[in-house]
Amino acid sequence: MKRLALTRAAPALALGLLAAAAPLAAQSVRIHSTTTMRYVELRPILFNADSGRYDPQAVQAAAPVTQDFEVNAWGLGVNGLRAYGLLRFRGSLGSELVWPRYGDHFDALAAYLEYEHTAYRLRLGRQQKASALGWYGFDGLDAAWRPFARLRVEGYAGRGLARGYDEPFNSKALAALDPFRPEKGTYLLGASLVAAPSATSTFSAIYQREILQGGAGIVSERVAVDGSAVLERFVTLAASADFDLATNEVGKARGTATFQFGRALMLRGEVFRYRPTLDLTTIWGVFGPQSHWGYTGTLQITPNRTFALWGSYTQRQYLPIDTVSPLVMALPDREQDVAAGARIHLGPVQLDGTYRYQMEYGGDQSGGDASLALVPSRDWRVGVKATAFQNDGEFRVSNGTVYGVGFDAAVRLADRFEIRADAMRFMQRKQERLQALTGLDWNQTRATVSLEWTFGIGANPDRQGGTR
Amino acid sequence: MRAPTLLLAVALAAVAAVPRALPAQAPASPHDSTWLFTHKEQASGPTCAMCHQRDFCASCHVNARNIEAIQAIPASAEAAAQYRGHRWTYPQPPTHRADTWVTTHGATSRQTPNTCATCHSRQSCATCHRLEERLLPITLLARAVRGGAQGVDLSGLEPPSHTPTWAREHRLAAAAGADGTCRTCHTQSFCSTCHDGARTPTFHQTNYVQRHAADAFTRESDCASCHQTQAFCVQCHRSVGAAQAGGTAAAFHDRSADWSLTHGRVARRSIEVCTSCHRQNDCLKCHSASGFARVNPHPAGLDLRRMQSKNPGTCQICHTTGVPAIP
Repeated sequence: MKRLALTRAAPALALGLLAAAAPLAAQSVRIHSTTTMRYVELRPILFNADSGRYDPQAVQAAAPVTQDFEVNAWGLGVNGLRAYGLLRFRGSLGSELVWPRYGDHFDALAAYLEYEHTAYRLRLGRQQKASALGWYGFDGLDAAWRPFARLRVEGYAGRGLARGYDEPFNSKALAALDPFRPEKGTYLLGASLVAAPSATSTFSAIYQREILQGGAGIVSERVAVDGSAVLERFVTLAASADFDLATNEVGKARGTATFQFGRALMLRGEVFRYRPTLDLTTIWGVFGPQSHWGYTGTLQITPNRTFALWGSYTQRQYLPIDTVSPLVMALPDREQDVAAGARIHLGPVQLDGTYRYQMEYGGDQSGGDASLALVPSRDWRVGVKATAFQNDGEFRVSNGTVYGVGFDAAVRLADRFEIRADAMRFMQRKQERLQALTGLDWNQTRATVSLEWTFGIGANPDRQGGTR
Repeated sequence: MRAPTLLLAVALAAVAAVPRALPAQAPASPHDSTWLFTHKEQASGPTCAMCHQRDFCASCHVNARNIEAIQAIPASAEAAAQYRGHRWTYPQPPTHRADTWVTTHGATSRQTPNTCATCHSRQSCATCHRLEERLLPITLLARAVRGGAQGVDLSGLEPPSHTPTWAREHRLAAAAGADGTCRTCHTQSFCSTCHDGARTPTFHQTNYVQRHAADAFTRESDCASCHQTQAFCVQCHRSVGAAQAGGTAAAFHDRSADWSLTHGRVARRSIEVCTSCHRQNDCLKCHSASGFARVNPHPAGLDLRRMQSKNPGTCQICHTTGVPAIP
């Protein structure tokens, strides 16, 4: 019980500060509420040892509900002081199937006090750090110093959170899932430098270390650099790379060249490398995961504001199998991915379509999505959408085709109150191999309803609307 | 009965969307297409009042209250009723058509804020400048009020960099500009709609639950950035029966009877996929130094000594009776 109390102390403290600070002296408080209700149907499968196949079970439904509150309060008596919180409540509406993470009813995704000065910025509380290393959360202090307009030096330290979980590394929920997970929590600390040598170029470098409390070892230790520059107004170069100091291996790397010829034509080439980043506290890293590399070419044509067309080709290349052994499985050494899309916006009518085909390593998949919407004003939108896809190959569920039809709608009832809804019904056809193989059945319904509401003064705290 | 009801609803919605009709008996306008950009110089006399009431001007000019020429024109309750809430389509000035306008308009707005105030309300700017309402050029603008001129509607406007595939490609730009460029328009809640989001993010295709396998296998993106593997992937895969607790049945691995013997290459290429169903215990059945098979999983070239120095505790998960000397 004592440990539980400690692990909840930091977010509780930050929440308390937020709750106390906002009504006390804030000149402006803005609360953005987002309620999202989903309905998802799934048909579980059960392995039958006698027949050696998976048998479909009855359809189950999940109805996860999420309530997010984003709180922004400033003017707290000190110029530059701001309180910020992003709080999430979860629950399920009487469903027999619990959607992942919906047994956890509350998370503070962010809850901090920020002091912004011309030359520096301090943040204290729960925060998320987005960098070339990825997305990491921690409870602690982040200090940024801007000695010059084009230079920012930043340092941060605090109790680490599990990636993608927003709870301490040693949370009881995670420990219950993996008996080998360390009992100790972690500290996350790092430093970064961001420079903008010119108005059209940026460069950043970051070092980050996750260490187990009590000096029992480290979880990860990585560095990354990234940068971008615009040359001659129409060429943009960008690159990033990270290096795992703990395993002495290069991790992910990416280089991109984008050519923008006015608004009409965009051409982009990209070369990348991928190697997973695995915590040193697990055994996965000592299995020697291999890297792969690949490239992507993208072309986008936008002759006018009403029409846009794009297409891309990606190839991934894996290390070839150079040994002949009955214990080495024959595998393709590459994966190819072709995608294309078009967007036509004629007045209030919007037509969008995309298609994507993946083949070779990883299984073949082919699928397309299309939508037709009527958007006469920013206040409302109604549309229909359809999809069709096949998923065959190593991870097939059958050789059939899944079709889906549905609708989406959005209406802004007031400047700061918006409702969105969408629903789709999926139907699987041509299931010749369904009984012979894994037997998953994709006949199911999905629906989402969300309400967004902003209280307080000022604009909505983030961009609304659109199809992004 | 459902289809006629739906058609009726769509028809009613379409009718509601048609802009309210303006006075049908109005004579043909003497102004040409460039008039809107040039009428300021000519709108100082009483001529305007011959045809227009103040409310006509105020239905377009957000800052009508601050313009003497407009205030000099008599108001009319009838005109006010006609134009109340009417949404005009604002013409786009030539300066705004430049590719660089999105990134350069700040300097212009500081030099000539009154020019912006003609068409832009404070809410117009706040479409993008979500946290920068206190910027001086923005504070000089009038607020749009219900029934009055709404100003230019900029919702949906995106910078040229935000191509249709931007959601999948923004990582580099976000890493470099998370506290700068991105923050002009986005707060953290926007990031959180996808990263650990409540809604399905736009870069996931429709019904991604069914379609994600190939992406996960080829590492189309770093799933672990948003999804905690054990808590998210394993939990769902077990709920639907795609993963079994402690199971090593080959049926799901393409019914390959010798999967347990031949899986090594796949595991090394895509080990993150293995961890979306399996836990460490499953591997330890064969790959532990204290297990019955004692299959060594360490490939040549791996810097085991360095890894041991960084975290000796991990070695002891398999080498329970002591870690052997690393050559």
